[in-house]
Amino acid sequence: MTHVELAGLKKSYDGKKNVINQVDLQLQQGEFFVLVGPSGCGKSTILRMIAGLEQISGGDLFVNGKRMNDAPPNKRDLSMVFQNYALYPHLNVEQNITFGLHTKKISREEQKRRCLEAADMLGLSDYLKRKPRELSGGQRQRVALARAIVTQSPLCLMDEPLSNLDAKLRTRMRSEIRQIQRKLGITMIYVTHDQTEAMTMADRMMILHDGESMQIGKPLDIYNHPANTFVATFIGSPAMNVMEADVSPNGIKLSPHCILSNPMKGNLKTANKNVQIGIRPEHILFSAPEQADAVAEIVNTEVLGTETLLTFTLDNTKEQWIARWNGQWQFSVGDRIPVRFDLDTIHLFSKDNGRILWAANDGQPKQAAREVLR
Amino acid sequence: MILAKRISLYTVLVVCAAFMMFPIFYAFSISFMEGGEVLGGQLLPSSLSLDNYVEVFQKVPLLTYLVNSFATSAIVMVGQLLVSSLAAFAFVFMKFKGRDFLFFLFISTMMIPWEATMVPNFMTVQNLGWTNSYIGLTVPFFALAFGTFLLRQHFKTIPKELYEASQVAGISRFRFFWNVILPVSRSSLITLGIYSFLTNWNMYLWPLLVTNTESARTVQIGLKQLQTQEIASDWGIVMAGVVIVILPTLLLLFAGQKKLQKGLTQGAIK
Repeated sequence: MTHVELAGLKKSYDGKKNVINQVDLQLQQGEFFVLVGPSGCGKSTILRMIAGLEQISGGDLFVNGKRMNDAPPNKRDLSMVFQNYALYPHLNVEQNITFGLHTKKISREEQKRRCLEAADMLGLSDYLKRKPRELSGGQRQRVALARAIVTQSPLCLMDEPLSNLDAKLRTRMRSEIRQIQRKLGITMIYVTHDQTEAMTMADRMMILHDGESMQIGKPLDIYNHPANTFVATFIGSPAMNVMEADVSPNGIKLSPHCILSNPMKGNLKTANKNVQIGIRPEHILFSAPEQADAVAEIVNTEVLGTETLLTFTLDNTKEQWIARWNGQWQFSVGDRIPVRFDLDTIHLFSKDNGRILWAANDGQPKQAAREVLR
Repeated sequence: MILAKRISLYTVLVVCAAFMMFPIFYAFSISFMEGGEVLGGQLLPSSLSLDNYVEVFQKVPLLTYLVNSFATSAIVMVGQLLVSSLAAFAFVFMKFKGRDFLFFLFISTMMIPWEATMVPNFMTVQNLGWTNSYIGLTVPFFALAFGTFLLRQHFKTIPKELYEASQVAGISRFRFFWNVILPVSRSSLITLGIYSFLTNWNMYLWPLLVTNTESARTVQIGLKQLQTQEIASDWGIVMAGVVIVILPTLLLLFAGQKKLQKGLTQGAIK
């Protein structure tokens, strides 16, 4: 069932320039949806429009099929978690969690029960009498979360809730939030600038850029089938290599000495055009010299333990590529190494507008987990 | 070297403190003296007699004045806190056209010396028939540009998200103001409260204008009365009156200072 629908949503502050342009989106009940994009792309604005904290300049917002453009925030039946948690500094944890519940005509006993339940779920039971300033960042985060949970609203909005936490805690909270969302079956709209958060948490996600929706879909679909160069480089870390190339029926020319065979097999639509080739770092492989497509000159290596990131150039061109290899590889700057490009995974993008022209893979993971288990 | 520096520094401080405190100390000292001792130029009283204090209460209705001063100061303090905080809340948390211009206009009234508005104020109060009453002594001071400015600056440091969170929770604007903004801004409110209480306590010209009966007058006028009446030559009594009048001021300052420090060190929000 559709829970939230945005139809041609627009936002403009001065009446001329749209900061949000024509966003269409349908959210299913119980879905974990992530809005992701670089800072200033308008993701928080969209969230705030859904919450009712920001006027909608154009288009419609429907919640459960009802038009909600002009409803005040408290009539939209939602809860919200803010980036800086927005805890009331003069109230203790318990008062913070139950603050505002009385407006929903909930009895004192019920408030207490819900508060204890939420505190228990988030491990806050021992801190109920403390003030926010006596809590650590992670605990404050949890209080903010508990405040959203006790309202039992079917829709929860989160605006970069983890960005003030350190990396380790962030990873843990990521999984906690996801588990709670699944357990309570609420619809979640989650804003982040962190593509890892988006990839790991989302059922579906929308990538935003300059107020426009770039692509909507499941994380893996987006990873495997980026719709344009922006999405290709934004999702995935390190980013996809996107380089200019000449495509002709004979092959794809990356540099004077590196010409890949044309994988399009008769599909000559893009032939002779200046295009951009996109290939993910993990699809540039170490190769035996006789099978190599090119010789890479190492510019930098980053050994991360389980994997190694190699920055290299081809034929003394300026463009720097990144490859990701499993394991620990020690190279010195200037080493020349034969590499091979996995032609089954390359993407070709238009040089004019960055849109995808052709992709080699069908996007499915090569081996589904279920098949392995069988 | 450091010791010498410290000694000289403390010497300067002690001299300055003595210089500042001497009039108060001398007034306090005189309040225990008899007439002859004062004229003899003595610095300390020969005996601690409370006669002057008893006499000052008998000669002028000092108790009535004290009550009047205390009541008007308290009313003005509460009124100013209410009006200023409500105005400051509107200037920070409510969006409306011309808000910043209006605030600028509001602030610009600080440039007008209040003596300039005294005559129109007096005529208004007189026409309303508010002379010789607490209303006339207090209401004209409820709206205070300085207080609004002070509280606005503090309210601006309160994260906007607190307001938004309460909007999402469905808390009414006034409830948010009352239950969140006021408790969070306690330190600024105390500062403003002390300021307005003391300002009003020390006010002389306005009470002189709008009151002419003993039952409505305040202490500052009482002091002047002591000086001008025939007891003026009896400095012991005058100084006893002065000590009684500055006592509440000092007490409030000492008590308030502690509260103030507590409020200020309470810690930031995030």
